Amino acid sequence: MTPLDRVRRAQRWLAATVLVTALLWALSLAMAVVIVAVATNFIVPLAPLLRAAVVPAALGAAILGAGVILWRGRRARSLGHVALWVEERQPELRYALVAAVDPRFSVAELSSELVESASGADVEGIVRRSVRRAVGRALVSCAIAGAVLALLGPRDLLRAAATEFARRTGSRAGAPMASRLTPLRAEVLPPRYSRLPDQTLVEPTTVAALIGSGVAFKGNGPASGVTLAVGTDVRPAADGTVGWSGTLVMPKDPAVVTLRDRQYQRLVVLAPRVDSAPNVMLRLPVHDTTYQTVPRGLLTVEAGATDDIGLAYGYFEYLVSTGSEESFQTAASESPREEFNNARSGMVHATINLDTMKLVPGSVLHIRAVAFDYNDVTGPGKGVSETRTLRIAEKPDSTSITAAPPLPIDSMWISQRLLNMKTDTLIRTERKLAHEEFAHRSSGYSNAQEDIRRRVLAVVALLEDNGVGGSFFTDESKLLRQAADLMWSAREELGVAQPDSAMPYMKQALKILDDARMAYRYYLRGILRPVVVNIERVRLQGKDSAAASPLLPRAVPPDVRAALAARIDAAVRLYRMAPEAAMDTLTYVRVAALTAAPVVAGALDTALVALRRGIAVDSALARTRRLLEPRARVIAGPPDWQAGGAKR
Amino acid sequence: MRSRGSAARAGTEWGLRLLILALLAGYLVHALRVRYRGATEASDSQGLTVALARWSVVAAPARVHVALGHPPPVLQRDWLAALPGAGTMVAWGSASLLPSAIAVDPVADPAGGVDVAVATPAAATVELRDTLGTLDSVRAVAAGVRFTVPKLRPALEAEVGSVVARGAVHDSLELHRLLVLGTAQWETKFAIAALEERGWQVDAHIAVSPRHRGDVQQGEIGDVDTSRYSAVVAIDTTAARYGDRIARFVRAGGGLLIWSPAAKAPALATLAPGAPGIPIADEHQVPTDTAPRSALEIVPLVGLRPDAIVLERRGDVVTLAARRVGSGRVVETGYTNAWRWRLAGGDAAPDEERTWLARLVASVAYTGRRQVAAPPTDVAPVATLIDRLGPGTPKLDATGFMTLAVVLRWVFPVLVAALLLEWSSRRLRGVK
Amino acid sequence: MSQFVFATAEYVSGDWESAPALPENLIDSVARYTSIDVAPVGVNVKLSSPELFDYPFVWMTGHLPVRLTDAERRNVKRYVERGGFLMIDDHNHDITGQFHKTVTEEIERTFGKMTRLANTHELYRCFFVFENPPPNTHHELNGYGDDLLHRYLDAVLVNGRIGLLYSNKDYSSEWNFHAETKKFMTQDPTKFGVNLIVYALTR
Repeated sequence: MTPLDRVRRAQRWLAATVLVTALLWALSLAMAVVIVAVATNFIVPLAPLLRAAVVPAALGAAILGAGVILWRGRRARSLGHVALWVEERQPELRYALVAAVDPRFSVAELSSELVESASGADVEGIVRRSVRRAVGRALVSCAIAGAVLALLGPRDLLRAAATEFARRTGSRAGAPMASRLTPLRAEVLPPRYSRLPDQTLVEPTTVAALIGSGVAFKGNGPASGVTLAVGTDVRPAADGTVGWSGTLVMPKDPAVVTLRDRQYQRLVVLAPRVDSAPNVMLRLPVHDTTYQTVPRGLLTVEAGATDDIGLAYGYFEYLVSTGSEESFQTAASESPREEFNNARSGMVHATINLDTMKLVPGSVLHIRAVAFDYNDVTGPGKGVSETRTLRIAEKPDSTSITAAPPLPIDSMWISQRLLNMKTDTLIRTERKLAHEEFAHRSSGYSNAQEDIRRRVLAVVALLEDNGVGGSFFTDESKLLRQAADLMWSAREELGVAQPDSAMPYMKQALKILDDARMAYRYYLRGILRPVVVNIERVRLQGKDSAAASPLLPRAVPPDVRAALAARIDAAVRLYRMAPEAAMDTLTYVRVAALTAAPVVAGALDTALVALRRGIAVDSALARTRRLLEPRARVIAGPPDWQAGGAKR
Repeated sequence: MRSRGSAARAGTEWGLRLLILALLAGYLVHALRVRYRGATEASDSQGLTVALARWSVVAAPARVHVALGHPPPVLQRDWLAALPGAGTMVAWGSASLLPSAIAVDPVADPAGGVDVAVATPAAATVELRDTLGTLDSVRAVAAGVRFTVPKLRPALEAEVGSVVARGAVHDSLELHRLLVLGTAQWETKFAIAALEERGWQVDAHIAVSPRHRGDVQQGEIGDVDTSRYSAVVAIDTTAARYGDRIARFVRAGGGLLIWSPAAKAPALATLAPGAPGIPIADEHQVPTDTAPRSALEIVPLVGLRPDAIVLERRGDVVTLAARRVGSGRVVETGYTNAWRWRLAGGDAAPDEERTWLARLVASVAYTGRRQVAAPPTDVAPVATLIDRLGPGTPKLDATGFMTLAVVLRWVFPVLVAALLLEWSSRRLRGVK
Repeated sequence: MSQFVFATAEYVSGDWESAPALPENLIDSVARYTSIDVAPVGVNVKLSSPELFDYPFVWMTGHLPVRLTDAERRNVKRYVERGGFLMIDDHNHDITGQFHKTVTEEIERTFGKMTRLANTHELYRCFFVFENPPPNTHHELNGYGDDLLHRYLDAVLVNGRIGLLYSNKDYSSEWNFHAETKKFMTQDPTKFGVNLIVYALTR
C-alpha cells in the first residue's frame, strides 16, 4: 500500500471515530443532564416548567457535545491534516508523510528516500491507539453515566417530563392531545331582567352569578369528547366559533359542574346568587293608632322600597274589618301602582280618603306597602312592609254579655269601698289598739290606696291617649283624675296615721267612682281582669280517664358542621394517597358548605388555592377545620370534685 | 562571629522551641489528668444530639453536664439515662423548666370531647395545642387550669414556658341510657329535650295524672341498674317512687343528678348532698351570655352533709353540690328552671344550656371503658426527667481549658505556626 | 318549680282578646284531669316582648287579619325554634276569611309551608284518646264562617315535635265559656285542650 493509501485508510478510521465518539459523548452528556435533574428532584421537587425542560435540555446538551466533538475532529476531512496528525505522533518522519500525500507532487516526483521514510510510518498503530483511547473514554463515560442513571431511576421523572413537555407543546407527532380543559373561560350572561353586564372569567374555580344566568364554558380544541355534567345531567360540548363551548343555566342550589375531556377532568363550583325580595319600610303612618271617634278626611301614607337589582312597582294594601262576635267582614283594596322602572330605590305615596272606607266604631284598618322586583326567573320577588293598625274604638255599650269582661271601674269601686270600710273600722277601734299597731295598719291602708290610685291613673291614660303620642282630656278622664287627686290626699293622711283625716277624701273618691260605674261601661282593650280558678276545689274532679300514649324519643338534630368536618377529615386522609381525588372531594364539600356554612365555604376556597400551590394539606386546611369545630374553652363551671367552687 | 541580628533570630527560634515544648508538655499533663481523673464535658439542649453521639461513640467522659433549656425529647432523655451504665455520670441543670403535667380524660357525653387538666405553677401561661395549632392560651390562676375540648385530635400538647407536656386519650367510654323522672312541667320537658338533642338515649317517666294510665312513659323502664343506665335524672319528688331502686343503683356505681326540690322526698334525701332551701325567684330577668344562670330561679341547697362538696355558689347560697354514695356519685342542682336559659337566653343559649346539663350528667354518669391505641405521650416531662436523671444540679466546669474546641481552635494552630516559624527561620539562616 | 301558666298572645294587629273565658276554662280542665301544677290564673303576653319566652305555651286567636310586626315575627320564630308551643286558632272558622289568609301567610313567611298533621299523630292520644281526630266543634257548621268541617290541623314541626299548631276549627268559641257550666255538659269539650297542654309539657 502506498503511503497515500495508508493515510486515506487512516482518514476513514479517524472520521468514523469522530462520529462514534460524538455520539457517545452526546449520549453521556444527555444522561448527565438527566442525572442532575433526577438528583435535584430528589432534594427539591422540580417545578412543572423545569420538568418539561429536562428532555429538551438533555437533547440540547447532547447536540452541543456532539457538535463540539465533531468540530474538534473536523480536520479528519483533510488528508494533509491526517498526515500531519500522524507526523505529530511520529516526529522522526520529518514531514515525509505529509510530502508523500501532498497532491501537488506525484510519486515519481518524490525521492525514494522520502517515499521509503513515509512508508515506514506506523500510521495504523497510531490510529489504532488513538481510536482506542478516544472511543474508550467515551464508552467509559457513557457507562458511568448509564450506571448512575440506572441507580437513580429516572423513569418517573422522564415520564412526567415527557408528559409535561407534550402537554405544553402538544405538537409532537404521535403524542396524545393536551387537555382541552386548559385554558378555560366562563362567560356569564345574567338574566335579562337584571340588566347586569355580561362577565368573562378566566380559569374559574367558582362561577358566582344570579340564579337563571346563562353560563357558557369555552376552551380550545374540537368539541368531540368534551362533556359537562351537573349531578346526573350530562351534556356534550358543541363546536364554537373558536374551540368548544358548553352552556348551562345557573341552578337554584350550589352545585359542581364536572368538565371532562378523555382522562382529564376539571371541577368548577356553581355558586348561585339569590335575587333578594325588595325591602319595604312604611314611613307614614308612623305608628298604630286608636281613634276615639270615626276619623274623617284624607290620610297620607308613604313607604320607601329598596332592592338589590331593581324595583318594578309598588302599592299599598288596605284591609278594613268590621263586625263583632261571629260576624266579621273584611274588605280589601289597593292603591294605584307606582312604577319604579328598575330603580334600586323608590318611594310609594298614596292618600286614603277615610270617608270612603266605611269606617264605623269597632272597625280596624290595616295598611301595608308592597313592592315587587322584575325577577322573572324565580320571582317576582315580593317585599312587604310592617302593617299599621288603625282602630276605631267601639261604642261604650256595644259589648256582648258573653264576651264582656268585668269592668275595671267596678273592681276599683269594690276595692275603694272595702278600703273605706277597713279605714272606718280602724278609726273606731283606735283606742283598743297599740299605737304601733295602729300606725302599721294605717300605713298598710295608705299603700292599698296608692294601689287603687295607680289603677285609676292607668284608666285615665288610656282614655286620654290620642294614638299619635299625645293626649287630650275627656269628661270621663277629668272625673277620674279628680278621684285620683282625692286618693292622693287620702294616702298622705293614712301614711302619717291620720285615718280620720283621710276618710273624707276617701268617701269623695268612692262617690266619683260610683258615679262613673253607674254612668258608663268601659271596655278598654288590654285590661282584662283575670278570672282565678279554684284549683284545690276542682283538682282531679274530672270523670274521664286518660290513656296516655308512650313518648317517642327525639332524633338528634343533624349537625351540619360535624358532617362537613367529617368529610374534610376523610379528604385529608385521601390526600396522602391521591391528592387530585382529595381536592375534588374538597370541592364538593365546599359546595355543600355554601348553603350550610358560608364562612367555612370561603375558608375552604382559600385552602384549595393553597393546596394547588403546593402547601401541605394539614396547614392549608387548618383554619377550615377549626371553623367547623366547637371552640375549646377554659372550664369555669363545676370543677371536678375539689373543695371550694366557682362563684356564679 | 554571629551578628546581632543573627543572635536575636537565634533567640527567637529558641523562644519558639520553648513555646512548642511548653504547649506539648501542657497538653501531656492535661491528657494525663484526664486519663486519671476523667473528663467532664458539657452541652446544652441545642448541641445535645451531637454531644450524646460523641459521648457514646468517640469520647467516654467521666462526667457530663447538660444545661437544659427545655426537657429533652424522650429519645435523648432515655439516652442520657443510659450513659451511667457506660461509666459516664450525668448531671443536668436548668434555670427555666416549669414543672407541668397534662391529663386528658374523655367526657361521658355522647357529643364526645375531653377534659384536659394542666398542672402548672400559679400565674404560668398555658398554651393548649393540637395537631392543627393553638386551641387556647390562658394564665393559670391557682395550681393549673382546666379546659374542655369538644373535638378531640390524636394528641394534645400543653406548653408552659419551655416545657411541652403531651397527652392523649387512652380510653373510650361506653355510655348507657339515662332515666329521667319528673312531673309534667317545663323543666322535665326541656331537660329531656336537651339530653336527647345532645345524643343521650333517654327513658322517662313523666307523672301527669294518678288516674288510670295518665302518666307518660318513654322507653321500657325495667331494672334500674348500671348495665342499662349510666345515670338517673330526678327532677322532683315523683322520682321517689323509684327511690329504693335509685339508691341501690347509685351505691352500685350509678350516677344521680337530682334537682333540689326532689330532695324533699325522704327516699332521695338520703342520697342528696343537701336539702332544698327557700326558693329565690328569678324576677323574669333575661339570661345573659356572660352569666346566664344568675337570671334563673334557684332552690338553694341547705343543710349540706359533711361529705358534700360545693361545686358552685351564687353569692352566699349553694347552687350545685356533689357527694359520693357508695361507688356512685350524686350531683344536686338548685337551678329549677334552666329551661328559661334555653328559651329566653342569647343566640348561643340553647347550645350552652345543653352543654351545661350534659356536663352535669357527665360528672356523675357511670360508663364502661375500653382501651384505645394512643400516640406516644409525655404527660409530665419535668417530673419524668427528674425521675430518670435525678434532680438538677449547678453547672460543672468542663475539665480545664483544654477542651477539644480549645485545642483545635488555639493550641494546635499556635503549635503549627510556631513549628513553621522556627523551621523557616532556621532554614533561611542557612542552619539545618 | 316551673308552674304551668296559661298565656294568651297579645299581638298588635287584631282582636287577640276575643276569647277571654278560654284561659280560665282550660286551666280548670287541666286541674280536673291531671296533677300538673297549674297557675290558677292566666296571663296575657305580648308577642313582641321578651316575656314571651317565660311562657312555653301560648294561645293565639282572633277574628281580624293578622299582620305580625318585625319584632313579633322575630320573637315567634325564635320561640318556636327553641321549643315553645304556639297554638293559633281561627276564631272565624273560615278558610276564606282574612284571619286564615293573613295568619297562614305570616306563618309561611316565618317558617315556610306548614305540615298537615296526620290524624294518627300522637297529639290525639297523648292524654285522652280521640277516635276521629281532630275533635270537631259545634261552631264549625253553625252557618257562620266557611260552614265546613275541618278535617286536619296543620303544624310547624321542629325536630319532629309540634312547635306551632294551627286550627280552623274554632276551639276559641268552643271553649270560651265559664268553667262552672261544664257540670251541665254530658261531654266535656275541653278535653282536647288538655291534650294540647299535656303534649306541650311532655314532648
